[in-house]
Amino acid sequence: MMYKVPLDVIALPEAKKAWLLMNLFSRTSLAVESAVLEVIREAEKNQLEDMETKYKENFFSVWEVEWFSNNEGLLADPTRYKRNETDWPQEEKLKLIDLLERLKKHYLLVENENEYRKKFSLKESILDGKHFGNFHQQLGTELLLVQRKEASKWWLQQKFSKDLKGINNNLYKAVQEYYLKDYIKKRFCNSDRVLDIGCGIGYYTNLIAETGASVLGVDPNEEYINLAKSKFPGGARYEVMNVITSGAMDRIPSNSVDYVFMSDALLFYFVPFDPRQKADIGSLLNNVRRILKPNGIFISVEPHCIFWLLPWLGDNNRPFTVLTEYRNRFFGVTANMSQLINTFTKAGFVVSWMDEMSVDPSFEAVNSRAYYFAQQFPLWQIFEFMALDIDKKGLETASPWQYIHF
Amino acid sequence: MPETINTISSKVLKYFIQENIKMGELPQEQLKMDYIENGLLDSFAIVGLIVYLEDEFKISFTQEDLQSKEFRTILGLSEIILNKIKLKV
Repeated sequence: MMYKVPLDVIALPEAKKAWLLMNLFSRTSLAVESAVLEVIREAEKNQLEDMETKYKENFFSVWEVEWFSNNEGLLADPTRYKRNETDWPQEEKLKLIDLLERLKKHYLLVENENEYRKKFSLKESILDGKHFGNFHQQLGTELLLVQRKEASKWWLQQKFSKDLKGINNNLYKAVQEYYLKDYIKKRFCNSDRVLDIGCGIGYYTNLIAETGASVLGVDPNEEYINLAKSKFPGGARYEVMNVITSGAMDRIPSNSVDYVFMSDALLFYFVPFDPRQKADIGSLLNNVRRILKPNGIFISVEPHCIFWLLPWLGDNNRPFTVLTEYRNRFFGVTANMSQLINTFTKAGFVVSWMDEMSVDPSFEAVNSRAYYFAQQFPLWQIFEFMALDIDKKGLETASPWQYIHF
Repeated sequence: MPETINTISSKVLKYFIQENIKMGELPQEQLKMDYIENGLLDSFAIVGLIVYLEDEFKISFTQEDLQSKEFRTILGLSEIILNKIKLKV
């Protein structure tokens, strides 16, 4: 029997006492002593029996450093290995046959490359161990089956402080809140009417209301809406509304708001959490256009379509990353740039402005690796899509540039 | 009285009945139907089932158990549980 090292594997010198072997596609890793690098090359060329004879007296050191790092939150270091050597488990000394098995377990060595390739597909259910699944499926499996945590509670805990009135001091605070606090102050004023779709517990809804704007926050999760009402009374209005259901937004009058705001929610329209329940973005955008006043603006804050969830590699203050997919995604859960923009332009919007969010400089002292990564590779994007003042029929033939006056 | 494959499978089936999940008419169909492939349980119902069974039989499933082919039918699931109970004794 012969093995193959998938070309998806890299060796990193990041740890002092070992090499870090990482499969960039399956996001799996194992730390190994340098002799193992030689062994895996030999395993590609030699029969197992010959190798067993050669290495019958040898033991190889490995460290199980892989872990599901997004346990700590959606914006935690997504690299999935324990960086800090003091957190490493005990060194293990393995005989050749056990070493090869261990490398196979982490997809650093494969017996059948076709079988290995087939694993890169969506999971059919939470119990499907044959396929890697996308990020949300992996997270769901980890939370529900391994941690046995309730997903909606976990989501609140990873983003908000215990009293739910502040944001945890991670990248949510250092990028999203840092950027949006300033943006919201500059963008809205007291004559504005704003609809926040997917408002969650109302944190940004409340910040918008503090500018004096009149705000309605809607969310399908009743628990979140009740929290919003109790945590942030007196500002915005909140209503339970399952915007995915057809007709749910009918209660909101046409031509009634200047801005529709949506943060970290649009991605589920492109890659649904449950592949069997596809949400109709066309219907959402038709509704948004109906509700917006002519030339009203849809503000979309979303995880960056390229850089979110990429591995944080290299030196703390000179990071690099490796992109393994963009157009055809098996892991990622955000829309491509063209998918996102074309969806809006086809629905009667133009891109009137966009930005890639910067990071709070004071965050360097809190988590320098996260800071330098987020500074170089933006983790959120913000778009303003302007609703064109034309009817649906005109859209069939119109090019958006006709409506922009330079 | 020690658990048997029959007592266990009827307790497993109880969860499906409680949750209003239709498993087919005949007992044999119920026991051998792949409830995942047939889309009878969503993620939350699966987690509910796991928690119920671990509590009921005072066992814990490993990742391998959960992702095995056997776990997907009431009969296979009951066999996994029976083996775990035997190991405990």
